[in-house]
Amino acid sequence: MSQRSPIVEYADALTRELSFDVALSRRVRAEVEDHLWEAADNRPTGATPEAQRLVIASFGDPRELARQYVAAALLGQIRQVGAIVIFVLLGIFAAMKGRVAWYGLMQWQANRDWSTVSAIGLSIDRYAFMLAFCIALISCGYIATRRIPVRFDPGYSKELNRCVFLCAAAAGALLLVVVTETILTGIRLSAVQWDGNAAVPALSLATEIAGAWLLLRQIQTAVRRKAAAWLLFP
Amino acid sequence: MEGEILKGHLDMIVLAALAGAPAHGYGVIQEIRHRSGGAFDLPEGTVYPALHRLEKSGLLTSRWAIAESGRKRRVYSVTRHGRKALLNHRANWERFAGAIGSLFGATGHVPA
Repeated sequence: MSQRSPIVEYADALTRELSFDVALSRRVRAEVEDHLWEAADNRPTGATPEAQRLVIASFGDPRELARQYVAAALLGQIRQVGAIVIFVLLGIFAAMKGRVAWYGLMQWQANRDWSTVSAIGLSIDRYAFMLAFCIALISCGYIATRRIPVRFDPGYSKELNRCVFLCAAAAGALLLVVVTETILTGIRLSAVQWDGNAAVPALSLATEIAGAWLLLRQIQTAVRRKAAAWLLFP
Repeated sequence: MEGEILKGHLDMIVLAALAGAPAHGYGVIQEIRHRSGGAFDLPEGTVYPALHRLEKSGLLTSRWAIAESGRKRRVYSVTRHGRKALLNHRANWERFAGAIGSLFGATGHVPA
């Protein structure tokens, strides 16, 4: 049975410690392995197992190293969520405006049987969108002004929690918009004949739902990563 | 030099080491060791999170390259924003060093 080299074992351990972010762990592993092999090759004895152990000893503990990546990795993830909040918000706005323009072009009238529900729905839709817009702006402003600290500490953890909370609040308001839009579009389409023309608002609605799903998945990933990273700090 | 003091200035040290030419992590460590005359002997692993943090902050940019050994390696270079940050670090450091120098110069001795 072939024995694994100390450098490979160290790289495995580091990959495990960085498992809260798979892409980061792959990148760091490649970088660190390159470093350790180069350092071992440059020793007078060459990259013997003993030389590899010496190089690893001067590199540092894998958990301690992983901890130093946490702050930047989590903020990077949160920034991505913030960008997706804005992207989804703009996408939903474009889809809403596009649908209204399409209704006008097709000269589709509102379903009179559901006029009260439609009126209430429109109000909820409008205010929920305005709320989502305001929270999204605050979230992005807050996230953009965070700086990456050298060490991940409880104070910074709280800041990240606030970022996630703001993004989740914006996502909640956007979800309400999408639900309302689904009901309103359903009411509108119930009064028209189902053909190719009806597929346009249905597809735009599907895009909104996909955007909201993507946003929720990103928030879920951010929360999971933070929880997994937190385990590095017993 | 004390590790904690070095860690406090790690960003400035890494930026300064990269200001001359792009380099990979191992090259950055060698450059720091060489230019400091061996005084800055950092735990080698600490440089990589610093490089990652500086890149996320927009002060460095990086790309994958293939080394002569055939291994993949990440090569870092300083951005324009990074050069500005380095100038600020340098100005702050010179003010600080000047102030400490004046303090020692005024007392003429270091208390035991």
